[in-house]
Amino acid sequence: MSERGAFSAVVSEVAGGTTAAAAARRMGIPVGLADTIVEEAERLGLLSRYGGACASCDPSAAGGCVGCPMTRIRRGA
Amino acid sequence: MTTERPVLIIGNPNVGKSTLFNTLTGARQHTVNAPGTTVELVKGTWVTPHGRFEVTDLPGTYSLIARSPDECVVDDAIAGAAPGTVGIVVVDATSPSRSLYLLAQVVEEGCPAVVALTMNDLAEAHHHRVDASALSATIGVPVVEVDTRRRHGTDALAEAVLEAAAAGPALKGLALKAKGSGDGGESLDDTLTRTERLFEWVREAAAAIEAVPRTRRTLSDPIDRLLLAPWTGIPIFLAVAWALFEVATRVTAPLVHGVMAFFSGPVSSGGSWLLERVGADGGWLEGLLVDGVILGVGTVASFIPILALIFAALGVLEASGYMARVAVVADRVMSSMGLDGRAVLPLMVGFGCNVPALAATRVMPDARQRLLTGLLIPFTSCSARLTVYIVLAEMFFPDHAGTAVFLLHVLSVVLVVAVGLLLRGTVLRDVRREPLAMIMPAYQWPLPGVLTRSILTRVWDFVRGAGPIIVAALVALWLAAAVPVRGGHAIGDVPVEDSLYGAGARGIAPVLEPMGLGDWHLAASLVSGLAAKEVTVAALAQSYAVEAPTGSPPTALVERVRETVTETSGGHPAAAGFAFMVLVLVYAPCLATAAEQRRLFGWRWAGGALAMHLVLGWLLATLAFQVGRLL
Repeated sequence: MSERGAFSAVVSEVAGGTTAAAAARRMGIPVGLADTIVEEAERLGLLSRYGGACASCDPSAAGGCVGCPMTRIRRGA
Repeated sequence: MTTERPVLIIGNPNVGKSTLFNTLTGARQHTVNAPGTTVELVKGTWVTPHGRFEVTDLPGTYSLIARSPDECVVDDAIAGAAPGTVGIVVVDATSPSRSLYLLAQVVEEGCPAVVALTMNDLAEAHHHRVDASALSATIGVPVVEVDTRRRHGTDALAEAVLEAAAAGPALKGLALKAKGSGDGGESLDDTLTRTERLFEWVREAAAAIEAVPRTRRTLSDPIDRLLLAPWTGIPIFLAVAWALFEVATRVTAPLVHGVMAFFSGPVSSGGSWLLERVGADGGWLEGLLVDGVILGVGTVASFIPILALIFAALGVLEASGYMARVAVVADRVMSSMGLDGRAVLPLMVGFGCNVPALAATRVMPDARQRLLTGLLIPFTSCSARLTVYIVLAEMFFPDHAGTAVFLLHVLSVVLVVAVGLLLRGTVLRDVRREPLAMIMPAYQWPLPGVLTRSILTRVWDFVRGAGPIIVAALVALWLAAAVPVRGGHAIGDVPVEDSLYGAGARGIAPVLEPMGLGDWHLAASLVSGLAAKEVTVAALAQSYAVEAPTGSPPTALVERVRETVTETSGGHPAAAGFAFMVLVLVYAPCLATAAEQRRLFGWRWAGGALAMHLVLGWLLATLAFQVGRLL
């Protein structure tokens, strides 16, 4: 473990481009704990999750989305 | 009347909460709405030798920082719990560290807690058995192994609830905040400090009870080293993108021609035959049906093979986890150029469709960042433009169509970066840069069923959403071509050059001469493309179709466009063709995108953006032609 706490260390590793599992392996903590830290960091706005081409699309909110070929996939997701 | 002590069942999703609730309460259950919400909660009475309890089964959550109405209910129930309420925190014995953070949050909210340890048989089968006594000694709250199938442990759980109620909220090794000190006005720094403290407690508790399995290095480590390093990740992505477009153009070209031939041949002839049978052939109705409706439907249908293949490829890249790596590399490149990292995700959405990409800018906290990203999004080459590129590339670069389409996407990325730097250096100098920190998903094989559903849904949405727009636009264009503006012709019986459509397009055509495209057919298609980019090709086909005899083969369109462009470009059709594609990319966002920009940023910025696109599109297309004809 580094001098930083587990939360900061995992967030830093993941922000640097590693998976939660790889961060857990490097730090010697359970993968479940690393997953929980990542989940909480996402809730706090410290990390973003890639969700594909329609990640933040809300088809019901924008009239212009009607013509978009990718909208309803999100509604079904 | 006997007082029932309130008990809340709390836990992560899928840890056996509801099964435990059913075991404890049996048939003594009823459903209520959580106060002020439509979220349903199930309550029940738990009768034990130690007394009666009123049990509430709360929705599953990983944290008390809520992200959904269900999770808000959990937070509200714990924060507003009546004095004497005890939380039963259900902990999955196969991964206890996942639940300990939630336990710490619950206790810090002032709610005494006990742990119900579930899935013990599964943990034992995986050789990860959790010793309940050791866990209880480590964290300082009662821990009870519960087997809901055999109803083992429920009496001990009731006893533990009374013990916890008597002891009050406490965790061994964790100094709890004063009740209410973190409510409302807690700053982000305070929240982070508290989160760090809670997770440090979880780490120490987990270390005492959960052996960290020795995990081997996986194949994803060396793959990530390659894909995430800019010097290798970017060339690999470019190679993948080039291969995608090359395959898309080569595989779908015969299908596109086949579909168009079907509609311009048998379907058009069938329509004419039907009209002849009812005595309505040869007039404006036949023109409207064949050159308006059937041509429009045929154009929509011809896009289906292209979109299905592209959506399949994108689906595989996204589901495998590769596109997330691309976003990380793109962020690093943009950050190194001083552009904002958080812009990467909305910009990547833009390659699907610009309109939801503009909506996606709302995840960015700073208004100036949102504005900068919103101005760059129309430079991302959406899937509607892709359909136009593929048809144009087949016309002008039949042997290198994939490469031409690929270059347009590279140009799109270059424009995003260049215009971004230009705006940051001029009108948006005050934009603050925020790094993107992205959660990297594990690599996985795409599931064929999910992928198939995704492709079908996306294609159907295109047909249902963009299809009517294309058909309606073509009918409108046909009507414009039927209205005479000179020459004294009757409505519906007018040469195109004397129609409203032809006259308007002729007025614009001279502007396109410096890029070798000074012809009214081409000008008309570009103006039509403002409604929706997909309309461009259909309008091009229509402007020639209204002059051509019914049933002309689709190859006739390719030949006639090439003839026109060869003439307007002075014998340099490839250079002019590429300039046409550049113009389609840059000259203006579609109406829906422009409207969304106006809604988000106001008339001034939306108008300025449109002017920027028109000027830049004209300059770049002219440059492409003038340089191209020298090669």
